[in-house]
Amino acid sequence: MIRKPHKDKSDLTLIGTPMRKIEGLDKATGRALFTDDIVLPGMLHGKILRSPHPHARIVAIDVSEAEALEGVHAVITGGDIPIKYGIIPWTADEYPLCIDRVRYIGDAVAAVAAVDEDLAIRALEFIHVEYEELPAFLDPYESLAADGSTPYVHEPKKEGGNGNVTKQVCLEFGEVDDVMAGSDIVVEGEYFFEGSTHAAIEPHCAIGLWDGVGKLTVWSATQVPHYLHRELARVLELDPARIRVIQPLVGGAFGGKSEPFDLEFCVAKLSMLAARPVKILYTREEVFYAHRGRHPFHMNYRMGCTEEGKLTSVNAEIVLDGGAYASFGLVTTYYAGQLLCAPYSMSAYRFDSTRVYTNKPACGPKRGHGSVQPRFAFEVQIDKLAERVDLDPFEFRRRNFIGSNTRTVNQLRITSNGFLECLESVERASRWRRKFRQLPFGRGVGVAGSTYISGTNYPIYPNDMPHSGVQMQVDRSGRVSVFSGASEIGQGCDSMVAYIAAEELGVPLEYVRVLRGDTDFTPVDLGAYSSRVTFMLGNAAIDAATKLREMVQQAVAGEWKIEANEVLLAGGIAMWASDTERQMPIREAFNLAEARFGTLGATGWYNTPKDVHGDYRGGTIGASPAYSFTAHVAEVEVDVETGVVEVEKIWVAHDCGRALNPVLVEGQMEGSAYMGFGEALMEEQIFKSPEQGRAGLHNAPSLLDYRIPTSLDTPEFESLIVESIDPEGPYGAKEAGEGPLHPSIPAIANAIYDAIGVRMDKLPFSPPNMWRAIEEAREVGALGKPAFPGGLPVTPEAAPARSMSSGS
Amino acid sequence: MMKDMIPGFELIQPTSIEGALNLLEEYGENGWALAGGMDSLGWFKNRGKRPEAVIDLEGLDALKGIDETADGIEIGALTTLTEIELNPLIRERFWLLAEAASKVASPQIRNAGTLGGNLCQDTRCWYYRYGVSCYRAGGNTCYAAAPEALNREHAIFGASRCVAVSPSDTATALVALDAEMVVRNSSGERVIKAENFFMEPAVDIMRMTVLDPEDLLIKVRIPNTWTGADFYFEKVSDRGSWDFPLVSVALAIKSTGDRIDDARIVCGAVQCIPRRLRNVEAMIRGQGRDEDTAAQAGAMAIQGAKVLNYNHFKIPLMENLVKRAVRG
Ligand SMILES: Cc1cc2nc3c(=O)[nH]c(=O)nc-3n(C[C@H](O)[C@H](O)[C@H](O)COP(=O)(O)OP(=O)(O)OC[C@H]3O[C@@H](n4cnc5c(N)ncnc54)[C@H](O)[C@@H]3O)c2cc1C
Ligand code: SF4
Repeated sequence: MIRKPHKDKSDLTLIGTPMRKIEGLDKATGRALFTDDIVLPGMLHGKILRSPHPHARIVAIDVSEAEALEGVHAVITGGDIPIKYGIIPWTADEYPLCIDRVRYIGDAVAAVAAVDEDLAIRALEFIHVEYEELPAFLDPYESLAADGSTPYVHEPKKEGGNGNVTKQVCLEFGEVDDVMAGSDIVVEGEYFFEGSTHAAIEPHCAIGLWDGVGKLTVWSATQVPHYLHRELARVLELDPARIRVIQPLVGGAFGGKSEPFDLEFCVAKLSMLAARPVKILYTREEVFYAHRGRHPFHMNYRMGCTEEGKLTSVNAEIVLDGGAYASFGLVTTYYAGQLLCAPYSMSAYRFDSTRVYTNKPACGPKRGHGSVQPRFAFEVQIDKLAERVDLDPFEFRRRNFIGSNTRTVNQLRITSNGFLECLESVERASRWRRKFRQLPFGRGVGVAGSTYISGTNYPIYPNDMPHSGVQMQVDRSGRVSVFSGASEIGQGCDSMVAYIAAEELGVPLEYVRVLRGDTDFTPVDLGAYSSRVTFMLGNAAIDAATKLREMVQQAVAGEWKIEANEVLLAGGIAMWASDTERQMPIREAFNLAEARFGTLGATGWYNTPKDVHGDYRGGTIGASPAYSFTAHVAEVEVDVETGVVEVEKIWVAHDCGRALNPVLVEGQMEGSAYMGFGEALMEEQIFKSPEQGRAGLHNAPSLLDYRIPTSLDTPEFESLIVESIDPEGPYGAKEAGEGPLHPSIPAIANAIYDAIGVRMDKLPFSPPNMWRAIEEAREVGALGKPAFPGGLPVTPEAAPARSMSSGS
Repeated sequence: MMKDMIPGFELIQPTSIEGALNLLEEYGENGWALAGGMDSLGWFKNRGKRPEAVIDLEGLDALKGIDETADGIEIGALTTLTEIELNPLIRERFWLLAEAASKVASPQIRNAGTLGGNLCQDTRCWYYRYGVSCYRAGGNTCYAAAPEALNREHAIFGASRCVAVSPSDTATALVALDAEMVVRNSSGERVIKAENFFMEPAVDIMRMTVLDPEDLLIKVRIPNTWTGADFYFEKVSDRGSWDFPLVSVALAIKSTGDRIDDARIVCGAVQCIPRRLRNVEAMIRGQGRDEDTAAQAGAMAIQGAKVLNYNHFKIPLMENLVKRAVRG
């Protein structure tokens, strides 16, 4: 891994300019292949039988009738794959097919492979499962209070422990209680973040192909082919060298495909038994059961500040409703607290977060993993504090800015930090100063900020190897081939490596081929999660390309009898820096290099900085090579007669380090803000309780009843890119895929408050929920425009101000 | 358990109304008339309904289009919602219907969905849609009315064992416009007032309209009675596009100067049928069209409303919508 200072913008030809996505045309024309597009000769279709009970013991399973059906080639149950899997090595708690117990409605119990899908579905009806129903835990607080009188969701790890607790983390930095007691103002609030799901357009899909003599190939719509590879080997007890994982293009994931799922093990096993390829495609309903979406968070925040508006102490108590399995829950439990210590400084911080199991689909990582929920509470708290000390919320945030090249209170290392510029951009663009507290009753603006990681310094399984690798070769035609194991899930990482290869080797973008998504020929990249790919793969690609470029420069320099660093490669030609008339086509340059050094190829890799985190248990979690920063302003209109909130516009400013391709960065910013907007206004993950018919049944496992915004509902966005040029990122880049989601939700909540004086501390802000809050406010006479900070007169058209007191 | 996959069925595509009527009679309960499929396909996909034969109406050109008649217009049952939304004649005379049609679902669904299908669609109660055996599905309980049930979408009026609501946006407009439904089966034709077309659960809990399995809705007639009137339509839903109403209101109103001569006012999604507010209509007749009258109308509209566990919000919402409609 080579590390050099970044080039200036003037030295870059492609990076920083708008470019197409390399697979864009294929996707737009329908040529692109997704997993379900793949049909292999003799392929069978698999289906999974799922539990109708939220919690039950499996007493007996009889598959004989299903096996006897003509056209059914294999039927498997839990006993066929009796090893637990899980993304986090310490918390593997799922069987591909349940063995003795089912833990949520939708848990996998048996699988069949048949000649067509219809027959596979029919075969499921011939599998007879006898269940003994157990009381189900649906409420996280009931889970927490369990005493073992009815079976826990999982067996306790320690005797006498509560098996319903996945993980508990309590960390304290500084003297929280003392500092809190000495604060001038303390605001406390209860918040509830409704869980939400990813709703990627492509449902999960996998194909297994066993070649009969020991080699297994699995195609999967996964965002973590490497971890899938490892888990397949471990759970199926196969030599990893005999397993090949192929990742076709993925139709969206958002964290919903970042771990192995039952279907991948099932297609493999079924194919091994049936000796034919087997495909399973989830139905939309099954996607809702597979879930791994955002955890519902029940949060209590107590925060103090001085009269001057300096944040002093923060105390958070959080209960995470985890669903039936651990998934990434261990990390989520930490992230819930660890990622809140920037962009504001605070002298004392404590969080106590507990993740509990419930008999519902498992929660996991969704875009902005673990920190979107507490960020909502935190930024609303900031708004409340600012009001209490009579400060504009922008000013309050500025006063608490943590700065760059510093450490957070929990000892995370912050390098570049463009948060102030983000604040400034949205403040100016939204014309905040003319709007805040001055728009007529019913209209309002709100601001919020956030930070997010650009990858994690430590991999999911402990090892010292690089986090990302790239192999590159150039050939006699002038072409550059990049072998990348990174996961293209729509975000553009294949394009990103192509841009870097083209930039460094001076070829037109069309000369770059990205060969990808196949563990047989690509180096390991850990996967598309935690906003790590641009940072890590980008650095790996620069590393590989630089090695090749130096060989080409040397060869050309030898020919021209000049110094190697005087050779420029750009736009398909090699030229002499001192006299750019002196040129040769890049192909010739490559040929000279091949003649001199032999066949040209290089590998590049990236490994993270270690030991830049706090020295305490859990201090490595949340440690990232760099952090991105975001600020949003949302402008809303609230109709107090109907409870309808209209988000008119969201201004999004994001410090991504450097925008390698500004179009893709804007796409990520808008997509993030859109997703946050949807969670704020409409997404609801509701499960029925026993009195509501079927306990634990997902209420709306379809895209009709589970509401996400359509293009028609989406507000206008204005994306404002801020570039802080990170010292360690590729060309200074950090991340843009997850950070920009966070502030949408609190910005909208704060804007609603500015509009009508009603605090929305619970999601979603749907008409019925808004109504309830509006009614309550009306009853206590609190409906109205809040007062302008400092008591300055409001503009005439605004409703009469009323004096405010909220919070503690 | 396995849903979300359409099972096989026999598809029959008649090319004449008579052919279609014969097939409907032949298959009876086991047949299914298919127009745009926007409601039907969901049922098939969820395996909630499994007809033996699907009778596709697409080939019946006689059921498509909008015609002017001596005393109004006629809209074929197979006319798409998009055509209704964009038709100049409807926009000019019966803007209320065009507006209601434009608020249905999404552009894609309006391009395929038909007026007949929109009027005949089944309720959205999600217990029923999930396939539980409730009253409406022939069982002996209502899940949505249970003490803790999730029923924020459900009825505040006219419940009788079943508390589901009418989801159709065009239905409210057509009742307000005093339309008539022309219905035919193999033994003849009958004309039914829009107001009497929808079925209350107290009468038949398993049907949403008066149609029998062998009946076909042929066309909808709108008399010129309300041309030139003022109209008001508003629909509130969780999501602005592609969503069913939480409450909606459709109003046709005629005034002389400031004085209200006559009005028809209908609310959607508060009852199993479009709820016509006759008492409000009577009360505002002769009154000024002002804030006062509007407030009285709103208050009167919600009289007798009965809430379930999660739908309290519908009362103030309905009151405000009626108020706004009358206020104009
Ligand atoms: C995502 C989504 C959102 C929606 N949102 C809304 C909304 O906001 N407002 C709203 O009003 N609706 C909404 N709908 C419902 C949709 O508008 C209707 O389903 C559609 O208009 C039905 O028309 P169709 O022609 O597709 O009906 P089909 O599905 O073909 O038929 C529906 C029913 O009507 C019967 N039928 C159809 N035509 C006739 C006829 N001529 N005679 C007798 N019976 C007939 C069919 O047998 C069937 O039972 C939504 C639907 C979806 C899927
Ligand atoms: S409201 Fe009607 S449709 Fe819904 S569960 Fe009750 S009886 Fe069934």
